[in-house]
Amino acid sequence: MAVPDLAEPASSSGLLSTRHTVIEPPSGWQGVGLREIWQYRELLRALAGRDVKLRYKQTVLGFAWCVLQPFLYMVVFSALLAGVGGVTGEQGIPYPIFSYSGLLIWLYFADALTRSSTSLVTNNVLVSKVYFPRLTAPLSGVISPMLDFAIGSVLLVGIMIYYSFPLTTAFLLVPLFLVLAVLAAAAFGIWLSAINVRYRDVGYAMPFVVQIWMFVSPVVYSASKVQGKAKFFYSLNPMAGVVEGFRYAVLGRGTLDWSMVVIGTVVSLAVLTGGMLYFRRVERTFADAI
Amino acid sequence: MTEIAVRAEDLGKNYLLGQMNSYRTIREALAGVPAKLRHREPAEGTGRQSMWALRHLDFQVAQGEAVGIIGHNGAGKSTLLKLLSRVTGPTEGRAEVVGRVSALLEVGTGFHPELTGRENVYLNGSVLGMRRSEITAKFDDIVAFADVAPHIDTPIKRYSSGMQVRLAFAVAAHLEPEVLIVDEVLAVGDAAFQRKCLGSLERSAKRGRTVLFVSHNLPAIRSLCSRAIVLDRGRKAFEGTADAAVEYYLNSRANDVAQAGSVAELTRHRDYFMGGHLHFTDFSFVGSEGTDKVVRVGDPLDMRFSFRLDMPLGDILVRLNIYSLDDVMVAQAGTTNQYPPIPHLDAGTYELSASIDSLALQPGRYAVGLSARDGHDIQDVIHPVGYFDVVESVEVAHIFTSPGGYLRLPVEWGRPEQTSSATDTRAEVGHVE
Repeated sequence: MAVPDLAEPASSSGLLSTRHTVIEPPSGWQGVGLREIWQYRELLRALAGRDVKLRYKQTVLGFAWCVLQPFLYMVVFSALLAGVGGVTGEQGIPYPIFSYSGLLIWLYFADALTRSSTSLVTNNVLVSKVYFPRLTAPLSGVISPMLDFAIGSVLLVGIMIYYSFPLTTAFLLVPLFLVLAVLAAAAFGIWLSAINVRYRDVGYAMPFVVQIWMFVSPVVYSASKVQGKAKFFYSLNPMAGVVEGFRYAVLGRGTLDWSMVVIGTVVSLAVLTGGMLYFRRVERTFADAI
Repeated sequence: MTEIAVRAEDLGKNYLLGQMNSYRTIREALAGVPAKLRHREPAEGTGRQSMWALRHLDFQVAQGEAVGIIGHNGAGKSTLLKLLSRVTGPTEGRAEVVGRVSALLEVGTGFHPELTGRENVYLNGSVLGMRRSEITAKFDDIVAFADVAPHIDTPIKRYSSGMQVRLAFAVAAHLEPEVLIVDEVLAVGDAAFQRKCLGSLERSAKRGRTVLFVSHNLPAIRSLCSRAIVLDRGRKAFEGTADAAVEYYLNSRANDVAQAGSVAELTRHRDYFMGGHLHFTDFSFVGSEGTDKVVRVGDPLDMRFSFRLDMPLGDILVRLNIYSLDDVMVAQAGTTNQYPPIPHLDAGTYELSASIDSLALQPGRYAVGLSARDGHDIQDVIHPVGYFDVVESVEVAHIFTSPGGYLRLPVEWGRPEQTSSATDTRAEVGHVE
């Protein structure tokens, strides 16, 4: 077989040939580099796509797991908490649909947070052998569980039909709370992924952290149970507003405490900004430390 | 006027030794915070050792030039490539690269065994910076080059390792960089595949792409590169034509041993991964002073060396390893090849001789290494302990056609016997074709 040559340089394209890379020691705080991430959007897509493809390889149930996981949680919580423990969701909302809607958005967050925080370590070969904007890794971890979420939503629709929950105008708010969930996961995931490169403790702590976090979020109970001064501190958890808001948007019953959403979003944005700056500051040593 | 494609100025990379392979504990990090607040520099006196993998490196590569990087293991070659490809950042100095860069520090980076060949091509292509549309356009070529078309939708965990490597290189070969940075990636695959890769690189270098090529394969450096840089312990030791650089490198290796003088001083060539109860302490060629010797093809070569045993050991195997200077192991001879083998030995010092009746090697310079193991562990490895030069034993008619290869095979040649005249030959060739 004839051996083809390495392809011709694409030097005719002016944009490429003028590319000029300066390599210098990192000097303090860097910009976030969003432009470069945009240039590498195809890698972002490839990494997220890979995770999606690998997710349920060699499983019998495959993507049914996306539905099964929140469904089983719902069954267990409905039986134990609502049935035996006497926990109630919100007035006028059957507990199964109350918990499923909360679990669906929560499981997205939990999955996204776990994946993005371990993303650099699981991609250690890439980090130590190729250059790419390192933020791509935690971001891809936030993107890939979106498919699970989408598939899990199918059952939510089924449950809503079963309990005859009509769509209301509140449903228009769904995209907002999805964006806020992504924001929260990215904010904490970026921090944790950078820390995880140095301290693998993060990887061990994650399952535990996620579990605790779920119980301080209004997933299986209503945030309306939290009253008084505690409410402010409760709202500092961005997922409090997100879970409440998502449930409100989907089910269209009850009221939404917008202050909770606003406080949570401010916290998310602050954590995200700090995380990106920290990440950019330490990313040049990832290859040495990983 | 030639334009500069790569320029490095005073480039340096410092590694904190703890940083490279162990991750720190949070407690240690917190303890270090006060010190860090006081002086923001990585403090040198705090007990954590640091090492300059590369320092004060200056060089330029013109556009379209192919430059080789040569050096021992640990000389800083890989660090240099990591800096230029931006995998890691430098500690000091700066470098500039003009044009689209592709760095192949490894073939198949990001390949995942569970994904199919097709999925891996797209993934690997994206990792190397190709656009999806670009990969789609070249997909058929890539598959054809790799010669895996029937299996392209099979998970690559079912591929043979050869197929995986072919597919990986096929992707890399279809990159369109202006500056190509290649590490020892060609050290994979079989000889035929290596030739194919080298050929591919060579043509791209001749076509005006800038190539930076790191390799132990000195002949490849010679044929591929016009210039080469020799690195030694993180510094630039030599820069010049590829031939001169290879020459310099070979000589510097030989000098390492000549300067060290005795095996006891060769400790920096030791790899400390072994049991360590047996230590080679001395080595010499019989009939020569020290660790250097000139022999003629077919002459005997006698060596003598000493070792120390710190504790009694059984089943001792001592090996003599002969390398060419481009690091190919030419021959290995162990004491188990002879009977009776070395019995159980008590602690103490020993002397051992090794004699080769007739040295059947081609002219050239060779390195001798020693290794020893017992029934369980490798006990000591030293490479090299000495060098010898092999020269022709007789006046050879065509001195300019010095033989290749490493082994001198005693081939009995016949005499050319004419089977037909010139005109017949031509007719015959025509017929065959």
